[in-house]
Amino acid sequence: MDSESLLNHINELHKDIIINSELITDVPTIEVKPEHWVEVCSSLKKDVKTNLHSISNYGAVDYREKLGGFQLVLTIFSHKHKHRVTVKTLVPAQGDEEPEIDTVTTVWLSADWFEREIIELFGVKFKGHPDPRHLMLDDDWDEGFPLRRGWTGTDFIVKPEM
Amino acid sequence: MLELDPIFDAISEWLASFLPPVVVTIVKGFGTAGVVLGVLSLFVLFFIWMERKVSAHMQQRLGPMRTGWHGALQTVADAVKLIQKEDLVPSDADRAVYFWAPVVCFAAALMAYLVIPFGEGLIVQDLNIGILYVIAITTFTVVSLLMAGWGSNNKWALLGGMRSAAQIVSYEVPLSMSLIGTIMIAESLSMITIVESQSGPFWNWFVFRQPIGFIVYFIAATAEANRTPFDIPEAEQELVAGFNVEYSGMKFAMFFLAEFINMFTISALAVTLFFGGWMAPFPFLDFIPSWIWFLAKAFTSVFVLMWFRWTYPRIRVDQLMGFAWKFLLPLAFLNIILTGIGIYIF
Amino acid sequence: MMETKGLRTEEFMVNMGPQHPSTHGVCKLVLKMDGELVKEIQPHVGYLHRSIEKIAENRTYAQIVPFTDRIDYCASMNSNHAYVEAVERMAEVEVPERAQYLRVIMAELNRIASHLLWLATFTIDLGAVTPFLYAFREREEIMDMFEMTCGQRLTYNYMKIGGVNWDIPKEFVPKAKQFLKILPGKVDEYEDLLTNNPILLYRTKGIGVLSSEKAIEYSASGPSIRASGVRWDIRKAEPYAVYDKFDFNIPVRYNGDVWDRYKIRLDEMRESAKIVEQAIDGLPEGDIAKKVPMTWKPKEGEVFCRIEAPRGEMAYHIISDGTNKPYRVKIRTGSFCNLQLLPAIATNHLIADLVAIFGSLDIVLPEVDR
Repeated sequence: MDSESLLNHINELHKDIIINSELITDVPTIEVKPEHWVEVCSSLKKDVKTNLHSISNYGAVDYREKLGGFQLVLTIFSHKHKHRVTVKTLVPAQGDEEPEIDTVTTVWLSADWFEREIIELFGVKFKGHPDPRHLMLDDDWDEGFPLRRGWTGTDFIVKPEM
Repeated sequence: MLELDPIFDAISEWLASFLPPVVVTIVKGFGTAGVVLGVLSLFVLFFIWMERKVSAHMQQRLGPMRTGWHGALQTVADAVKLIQKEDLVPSDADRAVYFWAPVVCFAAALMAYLVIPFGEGLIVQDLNIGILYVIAITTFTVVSLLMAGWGSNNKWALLGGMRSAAQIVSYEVPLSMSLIGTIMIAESLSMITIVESQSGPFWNWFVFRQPIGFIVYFIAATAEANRTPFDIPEAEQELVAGFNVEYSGMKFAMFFLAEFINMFTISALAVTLFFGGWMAPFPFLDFIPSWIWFLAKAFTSVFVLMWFRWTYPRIRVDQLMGFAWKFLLPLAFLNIILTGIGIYIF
Repeated sequence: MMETKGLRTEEFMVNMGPQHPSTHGVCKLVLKMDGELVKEIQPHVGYLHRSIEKIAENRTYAQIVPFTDRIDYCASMNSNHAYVEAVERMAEVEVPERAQYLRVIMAELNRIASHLLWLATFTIDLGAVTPFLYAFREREEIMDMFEMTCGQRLTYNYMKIGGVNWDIPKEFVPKAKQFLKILPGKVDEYEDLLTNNPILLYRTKGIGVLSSEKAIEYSASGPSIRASGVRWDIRKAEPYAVYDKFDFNIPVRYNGDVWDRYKIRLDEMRESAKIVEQAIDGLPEGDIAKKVPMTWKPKEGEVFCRIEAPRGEMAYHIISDGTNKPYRVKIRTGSFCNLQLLPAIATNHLIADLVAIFGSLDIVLPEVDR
């Protein structure tokens, strides 16, 4: 299945849920509401035609100023069909809030560490995550969430423009 | 003739000429101990250098080149460094056990030389239970390794100590069994008698009459001396450094010395029991002093051990035990039976 | 209270790392051990976390390239390649063909170097020290080639957006051809030394089996998943650069044990050598880079691009907001996922096996921590 027909197929599958769908550099990309996050993910994995059983990338983007929240970007792919799909969702948050969303570790085991990284670096909580300890940072780290826009810490100062 | 035996006889006669017999015995005892210790220390210095060079050339390197001729003084420099090092004791260590472990290890390694004939007549004391004594005394090593593992109060060290206990106790059995064939043919436990019963051209050596015994002995002895592929008690990649992980300075040096002395012990035993000891391969080569023959054979054997070490990967601990009990031990028993049949027939 | 008869035994916790000879960098494995048996493994990473993703948000696109060198220092060329490929795809920069070929040559040579380094450390993990220096002897040749091209031996900073920084010197081609001629023989030599060694067979066959289902579930990639019977190589599945012009095979093995992961890397070295050979023969003349101005601002947009690095899939997700600095850079690396599956395949093995399994997964810690 080429990217376009795959996108059409997914659009058909979740007609009412998908807010936005496009092709970004040939990768079918869909956006869903946070309440449908796990539902869409698990159906994309289970559907025979998509069968997206592996995670390629899973990260967050700080869009608090632009869109009012953190965007989770999950790229999943299938060894069998050799195609990939990006699923996005916006977790609403303002200021220092630590928003919460359901975990997808129930769908893919390998989401575990990716989510742990998002928890500590962005401050997005995952409901039902099996092991939400810090992964990269110290256990007693208390300097906030480094990957949020505008964060500075004792060891990290933004270099002035030259 | 360059035999060293008359020199020692002359010295003791000279001492007896002006000292009472009791003092002579004491002086002789300490003197011999000093000579053995000195000679062994020299050997160890040489072995460490040799190990470095052998490994380097096997790995397409040069090894130490800067200190002395081709790095010959490197070991001396290292020894000086180790002596100067601070002697650290972990705060939670069992101090007495921690202190005595290297001493026991070194003493056990050294005591085996009481009965090893370095040449014709060059033996400290010819015990009539020579082999039994060597086997008994070398097993003391296991006590020291266990002490080191326990005394350091470090989990890696403890694992290493436990591994060494399991390994040495297991390999002790096939090792002893492999020697029985030799004893049966020589009809003696004394080292001198065993060597003398191998006299004549080289096909009289026991290695040709006891090939299975020799193979079992050499494998088991390699394991006894904790050499690769059986170096699991100190497997750096698994247990960091095993039992000696907490040791530094002179204490570490003593373990190190003991390891190399043990390596020479098993080589010397192999030569004595299987390769005709100080005997020349052909009687017409007798003009070369016996101690040179002995050392040449022993050093070749040491080289083979080094060759093993730099060629093989390390075996796993359970495979190691299985190998001892399921393969070496039956082989050793088979050897005893075959030897018995052989003696009955001839 | 129950009276226990005889000796009491208990499980104990051991910290394997951060300073341990066989964790290949600073990784801590907290092990729960029952004697020699590993009952539970908990990897602790982050000792090398430099937050390159955060630094990247404060650097211009061109300034990020040297940082990518430090992500996987054993295969800097591949890290470079992944990043420049992603940026070019996002900004639709045309790259001259000669530059594409040079990138492939360098990336594949680096793959060979990386696998050689892996072979060296893996054999040390198993207690065989000598193959280490054999592998380093060949790696040295590759390092020399890199040095004559870009002056560096570890962090090359060779590729740039729009092409490569330096053309190869004229001694490069004969040296590379000479190297490719001897390499298969040298790989055979490693095989002579290791492959049929009974001790190596005992230590690796049937140890740390990663089934294909598990490999997929844990998103394993690179040689680790190909050793589990999944024919998955991004160079073939989603050809980038000019990989579709070359003829090469993807080695696949089906048992998923340490042995297969060992064998597959040896086979991959041979295949990579084939690619380099074809690339050198077909190297076109022309520019080595398209001029990209210093104050370059790509248009707004985002990209997700992945390549096949020696340790598996390396992917960049870059978002541009139209300024000269990226809005967000997310880096996904092969070791990150491969380390995650270690507890799943190494529990209930002996500690010696754990070392072998850890070695066979080929984890590079800076790549995990980034």
